Formats: sequence, structure tokens, C-alpha cells
Amino acid sequence: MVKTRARRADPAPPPEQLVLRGILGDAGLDADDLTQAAMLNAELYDFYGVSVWVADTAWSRKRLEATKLVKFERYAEFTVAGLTARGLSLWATGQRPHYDVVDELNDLESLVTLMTATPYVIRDNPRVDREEH
Amino acid sequence: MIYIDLPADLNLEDDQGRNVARLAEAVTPETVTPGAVLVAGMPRAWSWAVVETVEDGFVYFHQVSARDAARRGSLVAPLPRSA
Repeated sequence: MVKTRARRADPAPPPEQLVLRGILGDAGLDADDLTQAAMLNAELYDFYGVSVWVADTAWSRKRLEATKLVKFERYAEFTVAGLTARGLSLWATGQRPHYDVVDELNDLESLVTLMTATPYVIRDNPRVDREEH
Repeated sequence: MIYIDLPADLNLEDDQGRNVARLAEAVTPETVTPGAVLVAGMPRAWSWAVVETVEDGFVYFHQVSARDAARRGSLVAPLPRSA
């Protein structure tokens, strides 16, 4: 059953704000990973969205690295301006600082193509928690 | 080599701040029940996790430390029984 996704009434994040997403595999920000993420979101909430974390004064980069991204060795760093310049939107979904990157036409291919075409930097996470298995 | 019980994207959180994955992608879906301790994620980004609920084909779980996971039971899965 599809659920209704809670959207926060937050003001739009400023253009210079950082948008971070943990890297799942070895290939960097992989189009297949983004496609799978967006498809799972659509199964859950009936729209294609890619989960990201938006930094702000309460959720600094360091705090995100040590919490939401702590299991990720690397993450992709976008800016709000970079994503919106490509025509993508950021929806404030779930609990702060979670957002979904979406294509307003809800087109999966467009979402993934535009997101991978957006300038980003891959960062190593200095706060990664490499627990033993 | 990390043995992943439940493939998951740990970037995704639901409205309650829980991670979510497809039950069908679990290695042994029948063992994914509320309270179960497992390894969720991907080989490069995984966590010990506790299943909160299983609903409509989705697994809702939260991440825990190895210490927390150990407190809840053995972290070593039993060997498969031979036929």
C-alpha cells in the first residue's frame, strides 16, 4: 500500500546550502543506484525521489558526517543551486534534515539523468564508523 | 567480506526516521521479523540493525551499534544444516 509522505513546511533551503548523499558502491554516484533509490521511493510514496541530507546551521557537515552519513565511507556533495539549476526540486520530507530530490514531472529517467549531470564532489567521510562484522 | 542480510539504502528514512528496505530482497525473508537483529545496507555502507516492523512487503528498521546488537543476541548466524 502506498503511503502519504509527510512534507515539512520548511522554507526552501538557500542556494549555497550543501546537499549530501551517501555513496552506496564503488562506482561513485551511480545511475543504477539512483534509479533503484527513486523506484523504492515510488513504491513507498508514489513519487520518484532520491533521499539526501541538506546541511544547515543545526545540521552542519560535521554533524551529518557523524550521524546520518556515519556508515558511509564516501558521500556526494551537491549544492542546492546546482540541483535547482538543472530543474530539479528539493522536497522537505520526513524528519529534518531529510529531503528528496525530485523531478516535478515525476519522470524517473529525467530525475536520474539530471542528478548525475549536476556538478558534485565526492568526499571521504572522516567520521565513518567502520564497525567490525 | 561483509555478509548483508538485508540490502538497503541507508540514506532513505521514513517519516519516523526509520530506514526502509524491501522484504523480498532479504537473504532469508522468513527471518526478518520484529526484533530481529541483522546487517542492513550495502557492502560499502552497512549497519547492524533491529527490525521494528514488517508491513506491506517493506521492512522498517533502525540502526544500532555492534554492542547494542550483541546485547540482543548472538551476532553469529548458525551454519546452514546439511541435507
